[in-house]
Amino acid sequence: MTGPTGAPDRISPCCYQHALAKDAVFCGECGKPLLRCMAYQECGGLVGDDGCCSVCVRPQLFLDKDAVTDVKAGGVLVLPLVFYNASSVARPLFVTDVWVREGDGPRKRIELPWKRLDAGGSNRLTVQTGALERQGRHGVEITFAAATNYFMREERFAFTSSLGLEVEQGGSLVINQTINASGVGAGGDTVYAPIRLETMAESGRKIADTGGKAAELGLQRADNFEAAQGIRGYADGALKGSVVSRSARIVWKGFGDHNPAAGPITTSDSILALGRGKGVAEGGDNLLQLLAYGSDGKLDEQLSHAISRRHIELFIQSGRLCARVTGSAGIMIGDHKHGADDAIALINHGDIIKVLPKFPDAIGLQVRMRANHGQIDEITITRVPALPEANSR
Amino acid sequence: MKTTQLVVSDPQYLAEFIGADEIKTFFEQRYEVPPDHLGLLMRNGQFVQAYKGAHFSVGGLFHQLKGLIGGSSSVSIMIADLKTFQHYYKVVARTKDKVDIDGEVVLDLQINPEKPQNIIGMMEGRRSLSKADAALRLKSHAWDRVFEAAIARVNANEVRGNKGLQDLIQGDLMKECERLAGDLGLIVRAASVSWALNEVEKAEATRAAAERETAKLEFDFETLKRDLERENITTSVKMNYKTGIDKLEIENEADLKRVVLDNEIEFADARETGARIAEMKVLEHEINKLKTERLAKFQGELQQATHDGVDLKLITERRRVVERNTESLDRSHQLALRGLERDYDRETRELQRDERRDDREFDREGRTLQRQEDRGNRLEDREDEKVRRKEDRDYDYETRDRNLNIQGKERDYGFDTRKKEVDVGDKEEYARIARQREQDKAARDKIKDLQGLEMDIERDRLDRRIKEADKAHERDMDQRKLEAQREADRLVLGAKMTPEQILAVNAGLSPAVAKVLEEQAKAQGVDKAAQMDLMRQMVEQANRQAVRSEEQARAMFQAGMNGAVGVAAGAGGKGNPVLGILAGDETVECPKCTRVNPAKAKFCVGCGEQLRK
Repeated sequence: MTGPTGAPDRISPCCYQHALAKDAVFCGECGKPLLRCMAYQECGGLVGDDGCCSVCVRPQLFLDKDAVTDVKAGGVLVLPLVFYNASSVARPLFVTDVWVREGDGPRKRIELPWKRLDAGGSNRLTVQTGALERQGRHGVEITFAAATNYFMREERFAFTSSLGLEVEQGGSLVINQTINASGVGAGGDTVYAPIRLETMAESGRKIADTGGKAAELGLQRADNFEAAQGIRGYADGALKGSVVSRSARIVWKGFGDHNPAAGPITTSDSILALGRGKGVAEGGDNLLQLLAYGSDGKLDEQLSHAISRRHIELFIQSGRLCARVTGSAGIMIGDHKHGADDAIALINHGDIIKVLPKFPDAIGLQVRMRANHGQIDEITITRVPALPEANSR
Repeated sequence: MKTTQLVVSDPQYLAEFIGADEIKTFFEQRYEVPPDHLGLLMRNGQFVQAYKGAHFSVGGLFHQLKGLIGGSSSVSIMIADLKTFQHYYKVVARTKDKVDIDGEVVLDLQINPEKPQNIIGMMEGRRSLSKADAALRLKSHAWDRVFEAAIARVNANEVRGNKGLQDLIQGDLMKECERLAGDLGLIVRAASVSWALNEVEKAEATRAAAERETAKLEFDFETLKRDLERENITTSVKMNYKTGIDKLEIENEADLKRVVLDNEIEFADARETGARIAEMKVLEHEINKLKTERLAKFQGELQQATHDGVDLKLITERRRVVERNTESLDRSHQLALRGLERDYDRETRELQRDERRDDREFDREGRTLQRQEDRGNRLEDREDEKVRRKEDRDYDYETRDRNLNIQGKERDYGFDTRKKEVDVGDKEEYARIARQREQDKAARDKIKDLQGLEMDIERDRLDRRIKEADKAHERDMDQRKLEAQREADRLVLGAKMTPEQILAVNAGLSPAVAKVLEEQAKAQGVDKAAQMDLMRQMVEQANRQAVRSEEQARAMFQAGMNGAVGVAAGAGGKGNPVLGILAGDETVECPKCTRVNPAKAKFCVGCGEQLRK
């Protein structure tokens, strides 16, 4: 049993070795940044650019035993599928959608009677094809979207698998039998009664040769499908169809001498915390200390006190930059205010995160993203207004 | 000797003394006590004997002499009535439901014939004892004990017809009387009480009367209702009203027969009238139905006619089109004909002009007349020509149809012929191609023979290259398969491992070593987070020490334990024996961020700066 294949870059053992150190940010062997899973505390897994943790997310798809894969032309086929969660860290998967596509036809969405797939558990789903009219080999593509949750956060992925079906010649013979029925004084009727004679195959329908076990269908990440369907990445706006890479560089500007180093999110919980509290360099929890300054460049203590110690948490979720508001004052993105009770706010290209909604001009974070071939690999967060020190430089 | 009957002087008396004076006579007097009376003989104030239905004689000379001789005695007789007598009492008692009821008690009393002398006790010096006095002796004693006690047990509405109550009263009364008057010579033969209507009974009676009245009214109402209904449904009563009057006026049998006959006729008429009404209704219904059907049919026909009218219109239009076409054809034909005629005339005129150029002066008027004549002739000719052409045209149509059929058949025949010709041509062509092919083959064989050797060499070379490429591909595929298998094995193992083991295996340690480390982490770690932290450190250390087997891992921990124990013994402090092995390795400081890295690190784990190449 194997997990989904097709991950663009495998995590090398050296990275796992160096990730053992809690505060390690880069691999000491290969120099790559250590991108930790959102549930690293539980699973100890690392993720690649696609953000998929192979320890947490390990769905498997099987074609149940005794499944028939050969069919005669004109027939339909029922595929008994078994979804299995092979995660070893007791993390459930939530299969939200399943699509089936026959050949080049459109994808057909299947209504799911279940959603949760516990670790080590399996759920069954029966999928029926349409009438397979042509003789020969037909391809059936099964795609499904699965989500994994960790506290408030959720990562969604799509996986796909292809299945080949052999459609035999129907072997049917149609004889049009003509029956003349006539009666005295009743005129005559002619009835055409088509009679279909079918030659049965020697051994009936062929059952997939799986040795009496369910046959595993190889799964592959459907990254293009994820972006097109909005499962990952932005579904609208200027960056529609673009996905924020998990290793996207975050560049900080306008913070004067306190500009953090540009780089991906490499914290152990893969969250960047911003707030009035001290920064990591000074022994605090925040990546960056947010303080309000007056126009004269002096610290505005009163306004600064309105900023919570841990005001915002930035992280990348399902290929989008998101913010979780933890400060009591809330934040404002565009015209929409997000309070502390709001779940998670989505941040788009060009958005300005106003840290104090009541004083929108006091401190803001302008977010700009750069996408290359549908992949957002750099996010620039600029403080507005920029700190005087930064301006002076 | 006359016998005097001794009875009580008043029927109201129960007992009466008859004094000696009344019976003392000079002569002997015979007295008789009837059977329903009792005679009690007393001498000198003492009871001597009681006689019932006895005769005795009193007085006479002999007795007077005897009295004179032997002295005299005082003799008296008391007569008592033995017949049962009735006495009525008014009685008022209170029932269980506190209703005072009035009653009348009837007592049947009698002097006890067995002990008649006891009646003397009731006399109390009186000469006579009335029945009322005797009965009243009982009343005062027995009332409360009997009546009140009995009535208080039942409700007011239960006293009437209550046989048990009557028995009780009678029994108690007899008992009381026996107790009171038994010694006085009275016995109670029977006792019964008849009750007056009490208030409850009156109320019940009133209610019952009201109910009866209501029921009667209901009954009257129902009866009236039934009568009305009957009157309503029996129209024959009304029809026969006159008959009833006639019946009253019947005087003889003939009148009766006439009335019966009239009656029958009227019934027959009524029946016929009813039947006729029914028939009329049926007819009316039929008429309505037919009317409706006819209307519907008419409407349907109207619609059909309207619908057909559209078709007729279309046909008319088509016919008009055909007619228009025919007219236009005729007109064009006439125009063409006129053109031809004009041409002909022109030519004729020109000829005539040429012929008569010299005779131009010859009687122009005559020529004019001639032309006019010619013109008239031409018109006639034109008409003739038109008819002729029309006939020709009709003939042409038929001929053309026939020709078309013939041509069709000819064409079919031509196709068949041509097809045969083509088949023959094809066969010839095939034969030619086959021959050419044979020739080409022969030429190719010749060329092959010439180039065979060269080609064989080239083929061998290509085969070798293909085989080499196949082998290289196979090797590549094997390598990939191996890698994939390794990855699959890792994942399969991962599926059965704990997160701690996965951590270790991912970090490059073997599953056996991972298991040892996990055991140690679980033994040392307090909670899950601590275990994971410890595991991370141990995996790091195991990697640093290149632990590859389970034995090595155990040896590492043993060494760490021994060392830690020794250090702890020396310093007297506490220390984690497992973590003790983790310290003291060679390190290098990052020049950029000053972070301390393992000496083996190529990059700084804090900032990613390259430390060595």
